[in-house]
Amino acid sequence: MSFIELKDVSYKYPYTKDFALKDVNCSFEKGKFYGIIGENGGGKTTLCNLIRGLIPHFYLGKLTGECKIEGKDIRDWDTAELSSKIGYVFQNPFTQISGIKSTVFEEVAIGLENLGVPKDEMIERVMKVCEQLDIGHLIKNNPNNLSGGQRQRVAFASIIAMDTDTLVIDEPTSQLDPEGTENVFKIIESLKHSNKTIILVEHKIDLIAQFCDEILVMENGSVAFSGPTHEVLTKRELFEHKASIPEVSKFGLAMEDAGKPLSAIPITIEEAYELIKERG
Amino acid sequence: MDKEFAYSFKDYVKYGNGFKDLNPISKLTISLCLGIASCVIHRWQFGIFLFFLGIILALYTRVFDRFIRSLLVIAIPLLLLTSIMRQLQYGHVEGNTPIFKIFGWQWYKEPFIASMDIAWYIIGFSSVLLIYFLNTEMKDLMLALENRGVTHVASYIMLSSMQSIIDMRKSANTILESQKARGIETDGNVIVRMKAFFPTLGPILLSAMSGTEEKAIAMDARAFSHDGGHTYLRVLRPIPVWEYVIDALAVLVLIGSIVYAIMSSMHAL
Amino acid sequence: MIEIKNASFKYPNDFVALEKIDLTIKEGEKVAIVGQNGAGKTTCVKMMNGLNKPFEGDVIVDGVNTKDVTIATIARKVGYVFQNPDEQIFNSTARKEIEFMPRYYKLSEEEVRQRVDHAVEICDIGKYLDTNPYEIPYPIRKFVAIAAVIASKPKYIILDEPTAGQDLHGTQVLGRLVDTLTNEGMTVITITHDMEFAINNFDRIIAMAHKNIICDGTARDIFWNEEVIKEAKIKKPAIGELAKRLGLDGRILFCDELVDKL
Repeated sequence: MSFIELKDVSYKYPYTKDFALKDVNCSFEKGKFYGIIGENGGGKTTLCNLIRGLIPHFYLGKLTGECKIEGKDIRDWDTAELSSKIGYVFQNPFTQISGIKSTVFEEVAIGLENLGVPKDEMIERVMKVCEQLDIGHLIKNNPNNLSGGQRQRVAFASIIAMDTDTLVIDEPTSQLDPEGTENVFKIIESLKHSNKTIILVEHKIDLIAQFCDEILVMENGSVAFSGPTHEVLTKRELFEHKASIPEVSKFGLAMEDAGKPLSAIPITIEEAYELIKERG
Repeated sequence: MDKEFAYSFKDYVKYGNGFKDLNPISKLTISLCLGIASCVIHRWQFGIFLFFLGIILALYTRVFDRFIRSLLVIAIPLLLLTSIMRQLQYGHVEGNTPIFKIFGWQWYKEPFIASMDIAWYIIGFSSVLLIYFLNTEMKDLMLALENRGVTHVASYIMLSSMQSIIDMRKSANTILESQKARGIETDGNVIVRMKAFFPTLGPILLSAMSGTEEKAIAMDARAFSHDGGHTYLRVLRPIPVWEYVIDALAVLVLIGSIVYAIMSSMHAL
Repeated sequence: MIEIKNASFKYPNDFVALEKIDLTIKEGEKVAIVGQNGAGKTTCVKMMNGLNKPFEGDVIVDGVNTKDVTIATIARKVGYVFQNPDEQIFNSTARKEIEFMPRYYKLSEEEVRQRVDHAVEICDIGKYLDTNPYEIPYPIRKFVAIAAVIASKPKYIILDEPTAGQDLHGTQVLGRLVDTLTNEGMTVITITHDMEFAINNFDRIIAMAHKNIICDGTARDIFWNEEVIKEAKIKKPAIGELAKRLGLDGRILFCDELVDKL
């Protein structure tokens, strides 16, 4: 059985005319890494809000169809309980800092305090996660004075410290500079080996190509394509659909068009390199 | 990573200063009792006593600079204004004792002492409260209140609104720059400035407001509404007996001051 | 022409953000500035419209020294779109926001209408014109902010991180917008972290690092100079990286070049 399962889900935010999700059918299995891509306004964030239980508990509006998490309908979940199961990191580095803690160390501990973790264990867990996310040198700093990239790493640390089974990550790098982005990529890479279920929304397609097991392409509130990463990203229809695909995949398609195809369409630079070498 | 810092959380919250380390609530009790006593007694002698007590504590807790600077801003205009006003209003009342002349202007003793009583009771009150706020982290006060049963929701609202005022000040600057960059003239006469002021107001309020929804979501992701028991990384020192004794003394001073006030008003009758 | 001559800038807390910069931008150019945060990119462009005045050296816009006039005076020539649209937008509809500067300059109704129509068309926001900006999705709100500056018709326009948060469509609209504006005679200067956007739409790229300009040239000059890539902490575009690993010559950066080469 899938960990998260959506059947014919439609959803409309309050006071809006159009449905943000239309007949969405998809499922997520435990331990896999999922990428969600597609145009802005296509329903990516709404899907995240649903899986996180913010819909229907925080955003009202009209929800139809079935969305089950661990077999239990999303409407029956208690949001507080859900927050200890599914972690959530989103775009804006500035709103994810609590504003009530004066050091990074305390900021990272905030979720553990709320969960009632005993103090000594809390200290060990916070230290471990700060080490893992390479923010050990920042623990004494005031989180309200950090740069966007640093704040985003602190936000990740606060959530990862809570050790949820699932992480929903919504465009974590869209407001960061290349260095900040690189640091977040490293965090995401380290998560890949953690056996967690990860759902990542991201425009930077190279990141998706590198890490994800499966991909969902959202368009106009529906799932336009889904499947294993390689299969989805190399679809010619996807390119013609104006979805962004990796530069090297475009190159692979262009080679086909020029009548000198490679034996497969690559999605990473390494793959492209191997394919060209193999052809000689 | 600074492990020493991380492990410092194993201990109680500690600043290494006898006064600073008092429990925020007992510190508040002491300051309020003395401050209110100052108002009740209403005598310059007690005000000056609190002022010197303030100076001693400020030196002891190393906040003398900020203490004296903030206090002088209140004290000097207050002393000048009340004494001049009193002399003007009640100066030439029959039977007043002349004390000195300033540029030919005769000052009298009775209104002078009355003005000193007013000015110094306010200075005394301000001194103890200033010492309190200079030596108490808001988060410690909220933590102490939470220990006494205030919900962490109330504590969060209090602390985060203080932070949002700081954030608003920062964003106000950028917003003003952005409006200048569009070509809105901000230098010039009052009307020009007013015209420039309006376009900055909206974004400041809206950016503060639009952040709150996301903040709520972020806090929810940090299990804010989880009710299976809350633990704390920072724990305040259990209140020792001698601290209660100091509190009790402060309360006694307040009671004494009330008794004194009643007695002296009866005496006056 | 914008001339930055031997200019240094420090913040009120004495932090020096730029040291002796020299830079000339001619009319009609398309310039992208790349580099790590803290390298001085934003500080540098803020000198161009007078928000930052150099403490040493001069910045001269069309013959006028920015030290001699108010920011608003220079802003009529040099428009600047901040990265975060929420710091700029304050009117209750997108239309009012875009009309604001033309009306502030007391232009005729006809002229105001023309400018709004034009800005709306190139920013592709027609369907949001009568919406409250705060109900418009963030990436599109950025276009509202851009349109508002375009409508004030500056000679030079500075776009700070326009691609941040944009999807493929948004990035394409931005690319076209750069072309349209320069064809109409405007000079477009952008700060960007999106290297593909920079190489595909800008003729001249400036790499900044350590409070200074470390390289100023074409995309190939920047992205085939390993030293510059390392110093500015930027990423070589994917096709360039592939060409480098394959050991190909010709400083390849674009897909069709690589296809031709193989």
